[in-house]
Amino acid sequence: MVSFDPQFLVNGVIVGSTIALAAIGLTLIFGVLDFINFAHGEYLTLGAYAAFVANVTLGLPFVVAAVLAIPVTVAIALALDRVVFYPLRRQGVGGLALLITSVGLSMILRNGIETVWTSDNLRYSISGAESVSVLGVRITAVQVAIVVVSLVLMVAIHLLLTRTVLGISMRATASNRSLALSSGVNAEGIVTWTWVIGAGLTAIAGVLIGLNTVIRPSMGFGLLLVMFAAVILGGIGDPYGAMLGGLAIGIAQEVSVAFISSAYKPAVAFTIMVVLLLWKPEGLRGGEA
Amino acid sequence: MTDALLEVTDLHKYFGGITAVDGFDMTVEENSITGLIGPNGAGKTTVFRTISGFHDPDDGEVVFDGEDITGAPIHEVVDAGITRTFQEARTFPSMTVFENLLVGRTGHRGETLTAATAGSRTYSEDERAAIEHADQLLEYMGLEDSRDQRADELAVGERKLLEIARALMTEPELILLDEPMAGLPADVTEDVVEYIERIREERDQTFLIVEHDMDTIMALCDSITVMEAGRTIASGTPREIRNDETVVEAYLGEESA
Amino acid sequence: MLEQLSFVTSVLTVAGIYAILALGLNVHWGETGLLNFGHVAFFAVGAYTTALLTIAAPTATQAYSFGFGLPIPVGILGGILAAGVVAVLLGVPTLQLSEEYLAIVSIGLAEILRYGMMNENWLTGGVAGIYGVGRPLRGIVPGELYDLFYLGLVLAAVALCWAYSRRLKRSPFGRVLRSIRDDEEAAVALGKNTFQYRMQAFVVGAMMAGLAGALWAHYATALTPTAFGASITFLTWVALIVGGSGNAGGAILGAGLIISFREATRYLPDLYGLGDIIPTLRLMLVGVLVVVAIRYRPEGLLPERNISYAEYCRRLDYGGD
Repeated sequence: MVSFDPQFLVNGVIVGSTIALAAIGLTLIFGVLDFINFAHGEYLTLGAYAAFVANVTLGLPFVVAAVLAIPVTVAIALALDRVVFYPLRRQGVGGLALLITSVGLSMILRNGIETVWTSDNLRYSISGAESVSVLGVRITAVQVAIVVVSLVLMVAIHLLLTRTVLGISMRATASNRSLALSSGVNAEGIVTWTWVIGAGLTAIAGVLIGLNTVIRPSMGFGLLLVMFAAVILGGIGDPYGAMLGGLAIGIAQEVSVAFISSAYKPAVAFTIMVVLLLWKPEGLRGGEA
Repeated sequence: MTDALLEVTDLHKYFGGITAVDGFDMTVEENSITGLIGPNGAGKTTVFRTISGFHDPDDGEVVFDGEDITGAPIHEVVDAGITRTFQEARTFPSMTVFENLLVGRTGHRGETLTAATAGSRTYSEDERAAIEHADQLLEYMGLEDSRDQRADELAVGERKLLEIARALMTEPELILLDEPMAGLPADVTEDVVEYIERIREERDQTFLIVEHDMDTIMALCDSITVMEAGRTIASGTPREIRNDETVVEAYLGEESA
Repeated sequence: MLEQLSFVTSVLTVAGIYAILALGLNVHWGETGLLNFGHVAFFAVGAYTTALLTIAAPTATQAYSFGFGLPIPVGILGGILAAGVVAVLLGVPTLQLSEEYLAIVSIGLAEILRYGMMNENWLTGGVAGIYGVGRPLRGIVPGELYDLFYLGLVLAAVALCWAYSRRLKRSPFGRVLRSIRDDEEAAVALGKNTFQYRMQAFVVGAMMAGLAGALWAHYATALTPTAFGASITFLTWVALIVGGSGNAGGAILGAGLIISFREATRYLPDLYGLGDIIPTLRLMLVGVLVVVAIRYRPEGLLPERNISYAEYCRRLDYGGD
C-alpha cells in the first residue's frame, strides 16, 4: 500500500484531459449521428501518426506537425463518412448496422496503419521531456503543455457550443435529434461540422497522448473502452459531461495504482462504467437517458 | 346502469418539473367504445401509459373490474385484461402475420426455454390451442391471405388490423387504442372503424380510444371524456360534448395558439 | 498426401470450433438482437475451466494453484456451466438497458478477463499459461487417426448445437425472442417478461461459446492469454454476418468460409516479398468484408427464413385448413 501521493493526481489530470478531448468528439458524434462509432479510436491513432509523419518523416517542427494532423485526420474522417456511412444513412439503416460497419472500419484503419508503420513504438522528435520537480511532483514541460492545450481547447469548445449558431444547433441535435430536426436545423450541415470538430479534437488528443507516451497502431483502440466510459459517465450526447467524465476517469485510473496493480487500470474505467449503468444510466449530470 | 369496467380517479403524474396529469378522472363502461380527447399536450398519452403500466402514477387510483391495478407492472395489467396498441401499428416487422398473432397468445406454457429444450411434444397442446386461436382471428380480421407475409410487407391498413388482432389474442376485456387512425388514408379508416364496431358487438369487447380525428370519435364513441392541461374538463355523450362550452373553448384556444 | 490431409483436418477442426462460437452468437444476435462484443470471454471461461478441472494438481514449480484431475467430460461440462454463470453475472446489469450498452460493456468484460488471465498467476498461470491439458481417449485412439477422431468429436458438437438452435428457433420460446428482437416495447406490451427471455438467450449462447472453448482447450492442450484476444470475437461476428445472421446454417457456413480463408492465406508469406505485412493485410481484408457485407448483403449468404403457417401446422400434425 502506498500512501496518497499527489503525483497520481497530477498524472490523472494529464491523462484525463487527453481522454476528455477524445470523449467530447465521441459523444458529439454519437449524439448527432445517433450511432456508436467503434472506429473512433482510430481517429486518435490517425492524428498521432499524421503528426509523426510530418514531424519525424518530413522533419517539420513539432507544433507545425501537430497542427497539420488536424486537417489530415478530419479529411480522412469526412471521406470515410461520405464513402462508408453516408450511403448507409441514406438507405435508412439503423444505428446497429452502422455500429457493425464501424467495427469493420476500425479493423481496416488499425491494420492499415500497422501495415505501413509496423507495430513498433514510435516517438516524436521533440525536446522538453526532462522532468522537473514542482512541489514534490514530477512533471515535464511537455506534460504541462498537454494540460494547457487541452484546457484551452475545452474552453474553445465551450465557447463554440454556447456562443455560435453552429454550436447551439449541434448541442440541440445531440441531445434531442428529432426535436432539433423539426425545428429546421440543417441535418447534413451539422453532420459535417460534427465530424470536423469531433475528429479534429480526437486527432489532437492522439497527438498529445503520443507525446505523453508512445505512438503505436493500437493506441486509439486500446483507449476506446476508456473513452466510452467517459462518455457514459458524462451522459451520451453531453460534451461537458464528456469533459468531466474524461478527467474523472483519468484521475480515477491513475489514483487506483496506489491500491491495485497498474495492469488493471482499464478495469477501473470499466467498473466505473458498469456501476454507473446500474445506478444512473443517463450519466452523472442527469438529463435524458 | 352498467357497471364501470374501468375507473380512474384523481390521477396525477409528474415528470421532473412538468405536471403531465393533474387530477384526471374517467369512467369506462363495460362493452362501450369510450373516447379520450383533448388538445395537444393535454396528457392523453401519459394517461394511457399510466393505465397500461408503462408509467407509475404519482397519485390517484386505477380500478379495473373491481381490482385495484394502480401502478401495477405491465404484465399484471395484461393479465388483468387490459391490452394497449401503439400509434404506429407496432407489429413485429420480420415476423409473419401468423407469427405475430401466435406470439400474442397469453398463457402459453410452451413459451419457456425448458419447453423448447424438451421438444415440441411437451407443448403441443398449448401450441395447438394457440394455432387454432390465431387461425380464428386471421379469418375474423380478413387476414388469412397474408398469413405468411412478413409484417413489414403489409400495407398500413393491414398492419393496423394485425395489431388489433394481435391485441385480441391476449383475450382482453378492455383494449386501449392509441390514435388508431393516425396516418391512415380515409378508406382504411372506414375499415378500422367497422372492425372496432363489429368487435365490440360480436366479441363483447370494450374499447378506450385516444384520437384526434373528431369525426371518427363523434361517430364511433358512446361516451367521451375530454382532457385539458392534465385534467378532465368534461365527459358525456358525443352530443353533450359537442355542445359543451368548456370543450369548445379548450379547442378554440388550441386553434388560435 | 498425408500432410495435406493433416492440414485440412486441422483447418476443419478450428472451423468447427468457430462454427459453435458462431451458433452461440447467432442465438444472441440473430435470434434475440443482443449486441455481444465480448463473446471471446465465454470462450476463454470455457477453456480455462475445463483445463483447471482436468489437469493434474500443480507441482511447486508451476504458477497456478489448481488442478483437480477430473475426467474430461466433467471438465467440458464445467466449462459450459461456468460460461453460463458468467453470462448471468454480465447480463444482470446490462440486459435491462439498450443494446448499445451491452455492446460497450461486453467488450470491457472480455478485456478485463484477459487482464485477469495475464495477471492472476495463481488462477490461470498468468502469461505463461497452462500446459499439458489432456486429450480425450488419447490412449485408446491410435496416434495417426487421433486428429480425425477429434475432428469427428468437434463436428458432432457442431451438429448438436445446430440441432438445438433449430429447435429453439421453431419453438414458442424462439418466437418470443424474435419479437423482442424486432420490437421490445411491443413485446412488453403483450405481457412478456423480456428481461428473462433475453437473459436465457444470453446464457444459451454463452454456454455454446463455453463448449467451443472447452473443445479448444483439449485440442490445443496449452492455453495462454494471447490466444483469447478480441480477434476471436471479431472473426465470429464476421462469420455470422457473412454467413447469414438468424440462420443456423448460415452461422456454420460463415465460420467455414472465414476460417478457410484465414488458414488458406496464412501460408502465403513471401510472395512478392510481402511476407511481413501479410498478417495485417489479411485482417484489413476481413474488415473490408464486413463493411461490404453490411452494405450490399446485410442478410448474409443464407438469409433468415420465416416459418410458414403450413410448417407450424405440420409440426403438430394439426389439421390446418
